[in-house]
Amino acid sequence: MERREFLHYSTLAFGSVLLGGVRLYAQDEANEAIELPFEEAYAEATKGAKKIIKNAKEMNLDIPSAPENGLVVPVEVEIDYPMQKDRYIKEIVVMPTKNKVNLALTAHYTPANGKAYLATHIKLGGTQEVVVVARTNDDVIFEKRKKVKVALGGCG
Amino acid sequence: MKFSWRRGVIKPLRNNYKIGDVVIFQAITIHPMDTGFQKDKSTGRVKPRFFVKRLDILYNDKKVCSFDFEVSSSPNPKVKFPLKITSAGKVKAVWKDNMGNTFTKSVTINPK
Repeated sequence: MERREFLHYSTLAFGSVLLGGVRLYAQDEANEAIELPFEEAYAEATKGAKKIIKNAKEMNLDIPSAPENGLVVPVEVEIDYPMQKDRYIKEIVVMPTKNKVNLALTAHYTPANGKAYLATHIKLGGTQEVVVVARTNDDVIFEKRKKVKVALGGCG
Repeated sequence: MKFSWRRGVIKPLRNNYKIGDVVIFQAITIHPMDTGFQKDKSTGRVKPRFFVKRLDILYNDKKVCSFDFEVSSSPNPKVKFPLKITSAGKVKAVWKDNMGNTFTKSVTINPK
């Protein structure tokens, strides 16, 4: 009987420790690092696409092939596509492929922008490809990749 | 954590523009953009994730475009985007980070 009681109380105690642990974890969850594999980011960026045009001619991607520092890598995209009321670029996504979090920026555009252009700075942890995806308002996807050599990683 | 968001700039990169022109604007702010993977060298503890989540651009109080940042953006995130000038007025940028801070800056547009 004593043994049973001991078991009973010990499971209770163990359970409460577990619960407490979970609660603590949940509190910090908002600030915890979350890894995002490239496949997941890419699937999200191309969800519901009617057509994916790889290595699109319309897209002009400008990234230095060997930047000095991986912490600040300039990325410049221009897409040769009209920005009219019913025919425009809706979304531009910039994704590294071998960082821990493979999503840098999602830009949401409207016809009021007048031009499909985006320039930004991203972090790269090492030598890898950078993928830029642009989505038109009728879900056609333009995609272009470029390999970037990084000697000094920026994700330390 | 103590953080006071003080600096940010939004400006057109060209001074002489007319109505109907497409002008490139630049929005940049000072923010550490911690990824949550790095360790603080002085204390040895992991720095929590702290980054700019969203930037909204409003032209005369109408939303024109928006940007969702992730931790792979560089520190002091910078974007350049085009905007079609339709009238005189104000272009406003609103930054929000994952700790609930916001920062607003605007620029007056007067086409010649």
